[in-house]
Amino acid sequence: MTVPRRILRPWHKFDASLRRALPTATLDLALRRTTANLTSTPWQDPPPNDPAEALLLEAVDALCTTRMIPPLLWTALLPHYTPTQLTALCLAVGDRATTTMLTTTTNFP
Amino acid sequence: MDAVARFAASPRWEHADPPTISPGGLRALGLRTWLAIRLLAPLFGSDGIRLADLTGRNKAVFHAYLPFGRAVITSGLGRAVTELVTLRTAWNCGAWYEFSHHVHLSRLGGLSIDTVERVTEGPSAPGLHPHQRALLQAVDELHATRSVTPATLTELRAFLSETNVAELCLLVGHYEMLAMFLKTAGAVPEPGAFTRGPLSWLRRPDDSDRLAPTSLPGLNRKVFNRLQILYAPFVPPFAVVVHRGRKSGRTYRTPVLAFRTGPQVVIALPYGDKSDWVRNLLHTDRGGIERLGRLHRITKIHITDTPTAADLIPKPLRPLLRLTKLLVAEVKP
Repeated sequence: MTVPRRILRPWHKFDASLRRALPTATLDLALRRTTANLTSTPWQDPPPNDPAEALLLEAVDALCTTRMIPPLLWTALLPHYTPTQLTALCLAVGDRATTTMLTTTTNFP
Repeated sequence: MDAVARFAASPRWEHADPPTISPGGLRALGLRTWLAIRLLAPLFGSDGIRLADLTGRNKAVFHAYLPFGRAVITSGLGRAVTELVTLRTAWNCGAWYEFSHHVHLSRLGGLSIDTVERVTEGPSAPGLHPHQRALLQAVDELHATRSVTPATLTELRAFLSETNVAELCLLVGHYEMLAMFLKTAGAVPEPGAFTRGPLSWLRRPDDSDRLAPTSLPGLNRKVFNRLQILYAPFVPPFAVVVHRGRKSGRTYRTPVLAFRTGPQVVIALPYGDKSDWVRNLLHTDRGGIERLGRLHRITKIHITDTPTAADLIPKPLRPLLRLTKLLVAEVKP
């Protein structure tokens, strides 16, 4: 174990709070897309039928590349998600990026 | 134009304009967060703390984030490394809010404004310590590919433990995460932040990183130096620097606080690096130092800071010299 417990515990609590901030299906989709982006693995899921999901994937892609959701995309997302949920999305994608950095660099499980 | 203004003018920064999330008031933030912001903001010279104003709208996430953020920031890497890594991450992400805050806060970690400029230039910037170079290289690799290459990892392991490497990944990831949110929300530095209030001394408009007020050198020259120069050449850690005026050509003697480490002498610069005697030495790249009753010639003069010159400074002295720039010169017998 390389991550000290004094970081690991609050990190788990922070993760749990992000899980509660977004619907499970939405968060899972966003995190799968994030992992695919960060590890350069091909995206296996079929193209989404729901416009909200398509916009969500676009937002995740933007966060992974430019580290922000462009204002136009933010406006397009607003009818489907609240600003609080989009805040949680930014943090969740960043949190997954942190995990990827840790797992690919160290032998952290 | 001072360094902070130069950084602000960089085309690197990107964020939503106008902001997509407005700062939360008492109702949105809750009494505890709202009150904490109101109490803490004057310390930074501003009327709010945008990071808390924005994330605080989601109370559960915000209150879970605070202990996590604190644990990552206060990791075993030390303040200087943490600030170095944070600045490079903010620079890579193009997050001006994050960078502008840490330009000031990094002074508390010992980074001079010159080192901050080197951080923006990247690992190949001249004047960086090899450890700093390896850290910046690791940050760049984490930003680009989300992993550190084996070659850089080997360099890091020479001075970082396995836990420290993990903490480094967490630190970079944490500040990338904040950058994603701050850029999306359109956060810009709070008006007046670090330019007024009790922390406004952290960075000076003349980039001198001086600690003392501007009136003190004049008073010193007229009163205290005349007394100090009597004993400074004989009683360490005092010494007297002999330098030639770059315009007048006259020879001057200035008492300083100096530490000899091997063939080099380290001189603390509480008045910053814009003092006449420092400029005289840098202009000619030579001078003299009277220490323990003997006069030595000094050459290869350059300005640095405690984290960059770490090997030259004995460990017990590092906390004392952390807030000042340092003049390092080679002593010739």
